[in-house]
Amino acid sequence: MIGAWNMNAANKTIVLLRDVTFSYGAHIVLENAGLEVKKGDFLGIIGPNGAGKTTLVRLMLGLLRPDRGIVQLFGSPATSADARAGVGYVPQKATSFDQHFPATVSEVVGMGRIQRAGLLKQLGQADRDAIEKALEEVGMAEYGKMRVSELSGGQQQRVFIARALAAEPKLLILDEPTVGVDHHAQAKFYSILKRLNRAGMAIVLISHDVGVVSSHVNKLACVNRSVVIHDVSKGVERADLVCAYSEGMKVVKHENAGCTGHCHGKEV
Amino acid sequence: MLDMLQYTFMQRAFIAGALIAIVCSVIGVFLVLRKMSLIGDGLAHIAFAGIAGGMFFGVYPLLSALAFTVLSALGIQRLKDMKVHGDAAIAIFFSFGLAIGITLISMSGGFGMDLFSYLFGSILAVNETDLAFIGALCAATIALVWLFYKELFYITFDEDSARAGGLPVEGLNTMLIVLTAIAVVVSMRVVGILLVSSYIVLPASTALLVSRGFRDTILLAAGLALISTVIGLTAAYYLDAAAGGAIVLVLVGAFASALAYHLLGQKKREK
Repeated sequence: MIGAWNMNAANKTIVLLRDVTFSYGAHIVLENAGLEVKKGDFLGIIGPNGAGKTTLVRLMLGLLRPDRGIVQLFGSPATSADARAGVGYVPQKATSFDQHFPATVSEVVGMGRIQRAGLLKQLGQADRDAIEKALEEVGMAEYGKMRVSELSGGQQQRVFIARALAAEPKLLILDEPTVGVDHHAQAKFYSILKRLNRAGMAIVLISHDVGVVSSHVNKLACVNRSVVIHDVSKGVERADLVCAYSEGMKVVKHENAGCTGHCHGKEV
Repeated sequence: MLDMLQYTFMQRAFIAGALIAIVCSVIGVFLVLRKMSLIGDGLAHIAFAGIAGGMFFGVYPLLSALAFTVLSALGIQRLKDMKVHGDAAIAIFFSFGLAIGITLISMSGGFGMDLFSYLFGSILAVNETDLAFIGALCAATIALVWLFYKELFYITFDEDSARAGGLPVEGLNTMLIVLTAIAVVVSMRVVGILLVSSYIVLPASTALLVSRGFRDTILLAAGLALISTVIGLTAAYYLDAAAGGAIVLVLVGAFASALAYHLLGQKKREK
């Protein structure tokens, strides 16, 4: 499913935000924010609570319109249906759904095929194949007939990734996906993401867990009303030093931080 | 036992009952899972105003009830968009409906008995026109749910992701509430205004106790409602009882059995 993504568009921009300002009423959440995600990128978005991380993602998904600025997916406005079709989304509360909800693993993953199938059409054999393939991708193939609520948190999380993958996306966006998932399941989760990324899928991952995220991503976006991008592909010793993002947080070893010259927040 | 089927009124009651059973139970699964169980009750009281209005102004009561209930359903939806809490929006229309109904009845002084058959339902009440009306609306509702099944499933499970996936969530929500209004109106004739909501809530709640997947839940709820309706109507005929009461008692019995089964299963697992 990943191979479907055109390999010769090597430098193609997948997500583009330029000079984006967004506010809820008088409260400005993002101001002049910009970022770019290219094919093969693995972008981590970090920042304190209320910094605008989720707003940033909702803008990328076309669920919110910016007050000012441009938000594009695959070169089209993010609010267009065509643009959204290339995006797989794993929401923040994916694993905190109604635990009494009657749905099998296959039914949940099948939701990822709904937009592709189109209105008024039933899911067909191609959709069932895609569901199976997505479940294999996350190592959950044998759980198709199980009720989702019977699975562990980590397994449920993989089902929601499979749901996003079933749409055969070129970009996968995950919002705080490891909340409430144990350590072992997290390791498995990151290895799945890494494999997908190596196969060419662009990934955007929101997290508050700076240390873990920075060891997997090649770009880090520090969000706190503004957005500052750091290339961390060559490695960062202490990710918390990259962005001094939390109020009152002090950066002690600035020389190791890899953000010389353009680090926002409080520098020491 | 089949002698009751010689009567046209019983044939009509069975056909109407079967269609209503399917419509209410299927819509009910979506409503119960979205924690909107009480909307059926709210809309039924609104339909009461529509019936009273129809009788007062000499319009076919089911038609006036349909118009009034659908418009109110859309009104509830609008109020919710305007930051009125969902249950408050229902309560406001609920009181409005009852107030209109009571005012019209007191002013007319004549149609109390007719109105009674709508409040409690009656197998004798379904005439040819009613059956055609109920049949057309039920067919349309079932067709719409079938056509939009996967979308309705998605918004019921996770509205936010459905929106991110590009589904027209607002339109689907409106459709669901309009279909609920239709389900309420078509059910009144057989089960009565006061029991409509149990017809929506009980089969779904029972199926949810024992089912595994979503499709299973829908099919099970519909099957349960269908069987309970046949048993209830038969009992009503032989005991000369109100159909709505008999059907709902059977549905409650089924729910209690499913609950017992569910609790036993839980105990076993704990051991």
